[in-house]
Amino acid sequence: MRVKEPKIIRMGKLTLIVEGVWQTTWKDGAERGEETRVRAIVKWAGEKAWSVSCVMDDGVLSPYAGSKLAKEYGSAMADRHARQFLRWLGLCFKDDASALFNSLDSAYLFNPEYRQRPGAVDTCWRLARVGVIASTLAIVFNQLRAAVCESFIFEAANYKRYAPLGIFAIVGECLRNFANAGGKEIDLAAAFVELAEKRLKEVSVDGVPNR
Amino acid sequence: MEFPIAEKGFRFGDLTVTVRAQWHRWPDSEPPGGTTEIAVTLMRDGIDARIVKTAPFRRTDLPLRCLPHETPRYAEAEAKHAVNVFLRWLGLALTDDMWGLFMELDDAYRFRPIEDLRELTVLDFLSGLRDVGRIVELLFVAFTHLLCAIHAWSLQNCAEVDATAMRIRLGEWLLAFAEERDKRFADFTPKEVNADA
Repeated sequence: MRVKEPKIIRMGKLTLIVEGVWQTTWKDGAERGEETRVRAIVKWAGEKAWSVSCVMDDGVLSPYAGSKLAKEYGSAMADRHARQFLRWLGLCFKDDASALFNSLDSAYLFNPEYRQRPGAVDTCWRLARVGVIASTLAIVFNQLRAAVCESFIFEAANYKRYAPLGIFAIVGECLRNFANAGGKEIDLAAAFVELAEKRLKEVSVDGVPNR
Repeated sequence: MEFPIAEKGFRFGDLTVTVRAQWHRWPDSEPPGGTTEIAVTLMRDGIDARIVKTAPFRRTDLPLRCLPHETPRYAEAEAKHAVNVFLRWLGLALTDDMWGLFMELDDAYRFRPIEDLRELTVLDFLSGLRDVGRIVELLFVAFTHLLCAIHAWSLQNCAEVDATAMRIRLGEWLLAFAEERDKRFADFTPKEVNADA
Protein backbone atom coordinates (compact mmCIF):
# COMPACT_ATOMS: atom_id res chain seq x y z
CA MET A 1 0.00 0.00 0.00
CA ARG A 2 1.17 3.51 -0.75
CA VAL A 3 -0.32 6.82 0.40
CA LYS A 4 0.80 10.27 -0.70
CA GLU A 5 0.19 13.61 0.96
CA PRO A 6 1.31 16.46 -1.29
CA LYS A 7 1.82 20.07 -0.16
CA ILE A 8 2.04 22.55 -2.99
CA ILE A 9 4.03 25.77 -2.66
CA ARG A 10 3.93 28.36 -5.41
CA MET A 11 6.46 31.13 -5.55
CA GLY A 12 6.85 33.11 -8.77
CA LYS A 13 8.02 30.77 -11.51
CA LEU A 14 8.53 27.86 -9.15
CA THR A 15 6.04 25.23 -8.12
CA LEU A 16 7.42 23.10 -5.32
CA ILE A 17 5.55 19.98 -4.27
CA VAL A 18 6.64 18.54 -0.95
CA GLU A 19 5.10 15.12 -0.84
CA GLY A 20 5.05 12.79 2.13
CA VAL A 21 4.91 9.20 0.87
CA TRP A 22 4.06 6.36 3.21
CA GLN A 23 4.36 2.84 1.91
CA THR A 24 4.58 -0.70 3.13
CA THR A 25 7.69 -2.66 2.27
CA TRP A 26 7.62 -6.28 1.18
CA LYS A 27 9.94 -9.11 2.00
CA ASP A 28 9.55 -12.80 1.18
CA GLY A 29 6.13 -12.17 -0.33
CA ALA A 30 4.63 -10.45 2.70
CA GLU A 31 4.19 -6.92 3.95
CA ARG A 32 6.72 -6.73 6.74
CA GLY A 33 7.71 -3.12 7.15
CA GLU A 34 6.78 0.47 6.45
CA GLU A 35 8.70 3.46 5.18
CA THR A 36 7.92 7.15 5.02
CA ARG A 37 9.85 9.34 2.66
CA VAL A 38 9.61 12.95 1.63
CA ARG A 39 9.85 13.72 -2.05
CA ALA A 40 10.29 17.29 -3.24
CA ILE A 41 9.26 17.87 -6.85
CA VAL A 42 10.79 21.03 -8.29
CA LYS A 43 9.04 22.52 -11.29
CA TRP A 44 10.20 25.77 -12.82
CA ALA A 45 7.83 27.30 -15.39
CA GLY A 46 8.68 26.00 -18.88
CA GLU A 47 11.16 23.45 -17.60
CA LYS A 48 11.00 19.75 -16.93
CA ALA A 49 10.17 18.79 -13.36
CA TRP A 50 12.72 16.90 -11.27
CA SER A 51 12.71 15.57 -7.77
CA VAL A 52 14.82 14.69 -4.76
CA SER A 53 13.75 12.45 -1.93
CA CYS A 54 14.91 11.10 1.39
CA VAL A 55 13.72 8.45 3.80
CA MET A 56 12.38 10.06 6.96
CA ASP A 57 11.33 6.97 8.86
CA ASP A 58 11.17 3.23 8.45
CA GLY A 59 10.71 0.18 10.58
CA VAL A 60 8.55 -2.83 11.21
CA LEU A 61 4.92 -2.73 10.18
CA SER A 62 2.78 -0.96 12.76
CA PRO A 63 -0.40 -2.78 13.88
CA TYR A 64 -2.42 0.09 12.40
CA ALA A 65 -0.82 -0.46 9.01
CA GLY A 66 -2.10 -4.03 8.89
CA SER A 67 -5.69 -3.11 9.81
CA LYS A 68 -8.51 -1.41 7.94
CA LEU A 69 -7.18 1.86 9.32
CA ALA A 70 -4.08 1.45 7.13
CA LYS A 71 -4.99 4.24 4.73
CA GLU A 72 -5.74 6.77 7.47
CA TYR A 73 -2.60 5.76 9.35
CA GLY A 74 -0.44 6.03 6.23
CA SER A 75 -1.97 9.37 5.34
CA ALA A 76 -1.30 10.71 8.87
CA MET A 77 2.32 9.54 8.75
CA ALA A 78 2.91 11.02 5.29
CA ASP A 79 1.29 14.30 6.32
CA ARG A 80 3.29 14.46 9.56
CA HIS A 81 6.63 14.03 7.81
CA ALA A 82 5.79 16.44 4.98
CA ARG A 83 4.88 19.07 7.59
CA GLN A 84 8.04 18.38 9.56
CA PHE A 85 10.08 18.87 6.41
CA LEU A 86 8.33 22.20 5.77
CA ARG A 87 9.06 23.33 9.33
CA TRP A 88 12.76 22.54 8.79
CA LEU A 89 12.63 24.42 5.51
CA GLY A 90 11.17 27.35 7.46
CA LEU A 91 14.11 27.19 9.88
CA CYS A 92 16.49 27.23 6.90
CA PHE A 93 14.94 30.50 5.75
CA LYS A 94 15.31 31.91 9.25
CA ASP A 95 19.01 30.94 9.02
CA ASP A 96 18.68 29.43 12.48
CA ALA A 97 21.27 26.64 12.33
CA SER A 98 21.11 25.99 16.10
CA ALA A 99 17.33 25.51 16.10
CA LEU A 100 17.59 23.27 13.04
CA PHE A 101 20.36 21.21 14.64
CA ASN A 102 18.28 20.78 17.81
CA SER A 103 15.13 19.93 15.89
CA LEU A 104 16.91 17.34 13.72
CA ASP A 105 18.56 15.93 16.83
CA SER A 106 15.20 15.66 18.61
CA ALA A 107 13.86 13.71 15.65
CA TYR A 108 16.87 11.47 15.00
CA LEU A 109 18.93 11.53 18.24
CA PHE A 110 22.26 11.65 16.41
CA ASN A 111 24.13 13.78 18.96
CA PRO A 112 25.60 11.50 21.64
CA GLU A 113 25.96 14.42 24.08
CA TYR A 114 23.77 14.05 27.19
CA ARG A 115 22.80 10.50 26.16
CA GLN A 116 23.63 7.53 28.30
CA ARG A 117 25.88 5.02 26.56
CA PRO A 118 24.90 5.75 22.97
CA GLY A 119 25.59 2.70 20.81
CA ALA A 120 27.95 3.01 17.85
CA VAL A 121 25.69 1.23 15.34
CA ASP A 122 22.76 3.38 16.37
CA THR A 123 24.62 6.69 16.29
CA CYS A 124 26.34 5.96 12.95
CA TRP A 125 23.06 4.89 11.38
CA ARG A 126 21.26 7.98 12.66
CA LEU A 127 24.04 10.31 11.46
CA ALA A 128 23.99 8.67 8.01
CA ARG A 129 20.22 9.11 7.77
CA VAL A 130 20.22 12.72 8.93
CA GLY A 131 22.98 13.45 6.40
CA VAL A 132 20.67 12.46 3.53
CA ILE A 133 17.89 14.61 4.96
CA ALA A 134 20.30 17.56 5.27
CA SER A 135 21.33 17.12 1.64
CA THR A 136 17.67 17.11 0.48
CA LEU A 137 16.86 20.13 2.65
CA ALA A 138 19.81 22.07 1.22
CA ILE A 139 18.74 21.38 -2.38
CA VAL A 140 15.10 22.35 -1.79
CA PHE A 141 16.10 25.42 0.24
CA ASN A 142 18.37 26.66 -2.54
CA GLN A 143 15.65 26.25 -5.18
CA LEU A 144 13.01 28.04 -3.12
CA ARG A 145 15.44 30.79 -2.16
CA ALA A 146 16.27 31.32 -5.83
CA ALA A 147 12.53 31.60 -6.55
CA VAL A 148 12.11 34.18 -3.78
CA CYS A 149 15.06 36.19 -5.13
CA GLU A 150 13.58 36.13 -8.65
CA SER A 151 10.09 37.15 -7.50
CA PHE A 152 8.56 40.63 -7.26
CA ILE A 153 9.60 40.75 -3.59
CA PHE A 154 13.12 41.63 -4.70
CA GLU A 155 12.00 44.42 -7.06
CA ALA A 156 13.54 47.69 -5.87
CA ALA A 157 10.43 49.30 -4.34
CA ASN A 158 9.25 46.15 -2.60
CA TYR A 159 12.75 45.29 -1.42
CA LYS A 160 13.08 48.72 0.17
CA ARG A 161 9.74 48.24 1.91
CA TYR A 162 10.24 44.69 3.20
CA ALA A 163 14.00 44.32 3.67
CA PRO A 164 14.04 45.86 7.19
CA LEU A 165 11.68 43.10 8.34
CA GLY A 166 14.03 40.36 7.13
CA ILE A 167 12.58 38.96 3.92
CA PHE A 168 13.83 35.40 4.32
CA ALA A 169 12.78 35.27 7.98
CA ILE A 170 9.23 36.20 6.95
CA VAL A 171 9.27 33.52 4.23
CA GLY A 172 10.41 31.04 6.90
CA GLU A 173 7.54 32.08 9.14
CA CYS A 174 5.05 31.67 6.28
CA LEU A 175 6.33 28.14 5.70
CA ARG A 176 6.07 27.33 9.40
CA ASN A 177 2.52 28.70 9.60
CA PHE A 178 1.58 26.69 6.50
CA ALA A 179 3.04 23.53 8.02
CA ASN A 180 1.29 24.09 11.35
CA ALA A 181 -2.05 24.85 9.70
CA GLY A 182 -1.86 21.61 7.74
CA GLY A 183 -2.92 23.22 4.47
CA LYS A 184 -2.58 21.58 1.08
CA GLU A 185 -1.51 24.50 -1.06
CA ILE A 186 0.00 27.92 -0.51
CA ASP A 187 0.76 30.90 -2.67
CA LEU A 188 3.92 31.82 -0.82
CA ALA A 189 4.21 35.25 -2.43
CA ALA A 190 0.67 36.21 -1.32
CA ALA A 191 1.22 34.77 2.15
CA PHE A 192 4.48 36.73 2.36
CA VAL A 193 2.82 40.03 1.44
CA GLU A 194 0.00 39.43 3.92
CA LEU A 195 2.36 38.65 6.80
CA ALA A 196 4.83 41.40 5.90
CA GLU A 197 2.08 44.03 5.70
CA LYS A 198 0.76 42.84 9.07
CA ARG A 199 4.25 43.21 10.53
CA LEU A 200 4.62 46.68 9.05
CA LYS A 201 1.36 47.74 10.69
CA GLU A 202 2.52 46.31 14.03
CA VAL A 203 5.72 48.32 13.70
CA SER A 204 3.83 51.57 13.11
CA VAL A 205 1.44 50.88 16.01
CA ASP A 206 4.47 50.52 18.27
CA GLY A 207 5.52 54.00 17.28
CA VAL A 208 8.56 53.05 15.28
CA PRO A 209 8.49 55.07 12.06
CA ASN A 210 7.41 53.15 9.03
CA ARG A 211 9.83 53.28 6.06
CA MET B 1 46.32 13.21 -14.25
CA GLU B 2 45.87 10.33 -11.82
CA PHE B 3 47.43 10.87 -8.42
CA PRO B 4 48.80 8.06 -6.21
CA ILE B 5 46.37 5.87 -4.27
CA ALA B 6 46.95 5.17 -0.59
CA GLU B 7 45.74 1.83 0.69
CA LYS B 8 45.59 -0.05 3.95
CA GLY B 9 43.85 -3.31 4.67
CA PHE B 10 43.13 -5.60 7.55
CA ARG B 11 41.53 -8.91 8.14
CA PHE B 12 39.37 -10.32 10.90
CA GLY B 13 38.06 -13.86 10.64
CA ASP B 14 36.70 -14.36 7.13
CA LEU B 15 36.37 -10.64 6.39
CA THR B 16 39.00 -8.54 4.66
CA VAL B 17 38.54 -4.78 4.71
CA THR B 18 40.50 -2.52 2.39
CA VAL B 19 40.45 1.26 2.71
CA ARG B 20 41.70 3.22 -0.30
CA ALA B 21 41.95 6.96 -0.80
CA GLN B 22 42.92 9.15 -3.71
CA TRP B 23 43.03 12.88 -4.23
CA HIS B 24 41.45 14.11 -7.48
CA ARG B 25 42.08 17.53 -8.92
CA TRP B 26 39.02 19.41 -10.18
CA PRO B 27 39.41 20.05 -13.90
CA ASP B 28 39.56 23.69 -15.02
CA SER B 29 38.61 24.98 -11.61
CA GLU B 30 39.39 28.47 -10.45
CA PRO B 31 40.58 28.70 -7.69
CA PRO B 32 42.23 25.28 -8.13
CA GLY B 33 41.22 22.55 -5.74
CA GLY B 34 40.39 18.91 -5.41
CA THR B 35 38.55 16.22 -3.49
CA THR B 36 39.96 13.31 -1.54
CA GLU B 37 37.78 10.26 -2.07
CA ILE B 38 37.64 7.22 0.17
CA ALA B 39 36.60 3.74 -0.94
CA VAL B 40 35.99 0.84 1.41
CA THR B 41 35.99 -2.69 0.02
CA LEU B 42 34.60 -5.59 2.04
CA MET B 43 35.45 -9.12 0.96
CA ARG B 44 34.34 -12.37 2.56
CA ASP B 45 36.26 -15.59 2.06
CA GLY B 46 34.54 -17.89 -0.39
CA ILE B 47 32.27 -15.19 -1.81
CA ASP B 48 33.26 -13.69 -5.15
CA ALA B 49 31.06 -10.61 -4.78
CA ARG B 50 32.48 -7.73 -2.84
CA ILE B 51 30.95 -4.61 -1.39
CA VAL B 52 32.53 -1.35 -2.45
CA LYS B 53 31.35 1.92 -0.96
CA THR B 54 32.79 5.32 -1.74
CA ALA B 55 32.40 8.79 -0.26
CA PRO B 56 34.17 12.12 -0.50
CA PHE B 57 36.49 12.55 2.48
CA ARG B 58 37.16 16.26 2.11
CA ARG B 59 37.67 19.05 -0.39
CA THR B 60 41.16 20.46 -0.18
CA ASP B 61 43.78 22.27 -2.22
CA LEU B 62 46.66 21.14 0.05
CA PRO B 63 48.47 19.13 -2.68
CA LEU B 64 48.53 22.27 -4.82
CA ARG B 65 50.21 24.45 -2.23
CA CYS B 66 53.66 23.42 -3.37
CA LEU B 67 55.86 23.39 -6.47
CA PRO B 68 54.07 21.65 -9.39
CA HIS B 69 56.45 18.67 -9.50
CA GLU B 70 55.79 18.01 -5.81
CA THR B 71 52.01 17.74 -6.22
CA PRO B 72 51.91 13.91 -6.59
CA ARG B 73 53.88 13.50 -3.35
CA TYR B 74 51.59 15.88 -1.50
CA ALA B 75 48.53 14.18 -3.02
CA GLU B 76 49.81 10.82 -1.76
CA ALA B 77 50.35 12.28 1.71
CA GLU B 78 46.79 13.62 1.65
CA ALA B 79 45.46 10.19 0.59
CA LYS B 80 47.46 8.45 3.34
CA HIS B 81 46.09 10.91 5.87
CA ALA B 82 42.52 10.14 4.73
CA VAL B 83 43.05 6.38 5.08
CA ASN B 84 44.55 6.70 8.56
CA VAL B 85 41.84 9.06 9.75
CA PHE B 86 39.13 6.72 8.46
CA LEU B 87 40.73 3.74 10.23
CA ARG B 88 40.96 5.80 13.40
CA TRP B 89 37.24 6.67 13.20
CA LEU B 90 36.40 3.02 12.64
CA GLY B 91 38.51 2.19 15.70
CA LEU B 92 36.66 4.80 17.77
CA ALA B 93 33.30 3.38 16.65
CA LEU B 94 34.38 -0.15 17.56
CA THR B 95 35.58 0.94 21.00
CA ASP B 96 32.18 2.60 21.53
CA ASP B 97 33.81 5.99 22.02
CA MET B 98 30.89 7.77 20.40
CA TRP B 99 31.62 11.13 21.98
CA GLY B 100 35.24 10.98 20.75
CA LEU B 101 34.07 10.03 17.26
CA PHE B 102 31.42 12.74 17.20
CA MET B 103 33.94 15.38 18.27
CA GLU B 104 36.48 14.28 15.63
CA LEU B 105 33.79 14.29 12.95
CA ASP B 106 32.74 17.73 14.11
CA ASP B 107 36.34 18.95 13.93
CA ALA B 108 36.59 17.64 10.38
CA TYR B 109 33.20 18.69 9.02
CA ARG B 110 32.19 21.56 11.35
CA PHE B 111 28.51 20.76 11.46
CA ARG B 112 27.72 21.59 15.09
CA PRO B 113 26.64 25.17 15.71
CA ILE B 114 28.19 26.42 18.96
CA GLU B 115 26.80 29.61 20.43
CA ASP B 116 29.24 32.56 20.34
CA LEU B 117 32.00 30.26 19.11
CA ARG B 118 30.91 28.80 15.80
CA GLU B 119 27.93 30.60 14.31
CA LEU B 120 27.16 28.61 11.18
CA THR B 121 24.91 29.69 8.37
CA VAL B 122 22.22 27.17 7.64
CA LEU B 123 23.87 26.18 4.34
CA ASP B 124 27.25 25.60 6.05
CA PHE B 125 25.49 23.50 8.65
CA LEU B 126 23.54 21.47 6.09
CA SER B 127 26.55 20.85 3.85
CA GLY B 128 28.66 19.80 6.87
CA LEU B 129 25.93 17.42 8.00
CA ARG B 130 25.57 16.02 4.47
CA ASP B 131 29.33 15.36 4.26
CA VAL B 132 29.44 13.73 7.67
CA GLY B 133 26.44 11.57 6.72
CA ARG B 134 28.24 10.29 3.62
CA ILE B 135 31.40 9.30 5.46
CA VAL B 136 29.48 7.83 8.39
CA GLU B 137 27.55 5.60 6.00
CA LEU B 138 30.88 3.98 5.04
CA LEU B 139 31.79 3.65 8.71
CA PHE B 140 28.39 2.09 9.39
CA VAL B 141 28.74 -0.49 6.61
CA ALA B 142 32.30 -1.47 7.61
CA PHE B 143 31.33 -1.52 11.29
CA THR B 144 28.29 -3.78 10.86
CA HIS B 145 30.24 -6.24 8.67
CA LEU B 146 33.00 -6.36 11.27
CA LEU B 147 30.41 -7.11 13.96
CA CYS B 148 29.14 -10.00 11.82
CA ALA B 149 32.72 -11.21 11.28
CA ILE B 150 33.36 -11.20 15.05
CA HIS B 151 30.24 -13.29 15.70
CA ALA B 152 31.01 -15.64 12.79
CA TRP B 153 34.55 -16.13 14.07
CA SER B 154 33.25 -16.89 17.60
CA LEU B 155 30.81 -19.47 16.24
CA GLN B 156 33.34 -21.12 13.94
CA ASN B 157 35.90 -21.43 16.71
CA CYS B 158 33.35 -22.42 19.35
CA ALA B 159 35.08 -19.78 21.41
CA GLU B 160 33.60 -18.70 24.70
CA VAL B 161 34.50 -15.11 23.99
CA ASP B 162 32.59 -12.01 24.84
CA ALA B 163 31.79 -10.43 21.48
CA THR B 164 31.74 -6.94 23.01
CA ALA B 165 35.20 -7.39 24.52
CA MET B 166 36.48 -8.70 21.18
CA ARG B 167 34.96 -5.72 19.34
CA ILE B 168 36.58 -3.25 21.73
CA ARG B 169 39.90 -5.05 21.39
CA LEU B 170 39.63 -4.91 17.60
CA GLY B 171 38.87 -1.18 17.90
CA GLU B 172 42.04 -0.67 19.95
CA TRP B 173 44.09 -2.62 17.40
CA LEU B 174 42.65 -0.46 14.64
CA LEU B 175 43.48 2.73 16.54
CA ALA B 176 47.09 1.53 16.83
CA PHE B 177 47.10 0.41 13.16
CA ALA B 178 45.98 3.89 12.10
CA GLU B 179 49.04 5.33 13.85
CA GLU B 180 51.45 2.99 12.05
CA ARG B 181 52.22 5.01 8.95
CA ASP B 182 54.20 2.40 7.02
CA LYS B 183 52.28 -0.79 7.76
CA ARG B 184 49.87 -1.59 4.92
CA PHE B 185 48.18 -4.78 6.06
CA ALA B 186 47.38 -6.43 9.35
CA ASP B 187 45.65 -9.66 10.28
CA PHE B 188 43.71 -9.13 13.51
CA THR B 189 42.21 -12.62 13.65
CA PRO B 190 43.11 -14.00 17.08
CA LYS B 191 45.55 -16.86 16.68
CA GLU B 192 44.72 -18.48 19.98
CA VAL B 193 41.43 -18.59 21.76
CA ASN B 194 41.73 -17.98 25.44
CA ALA B 195 39.25 -17.32 28.15
CA ASP B 196 40.33 -13.70 28.56
CA ALA B 197 39.62 -12.86 24.93
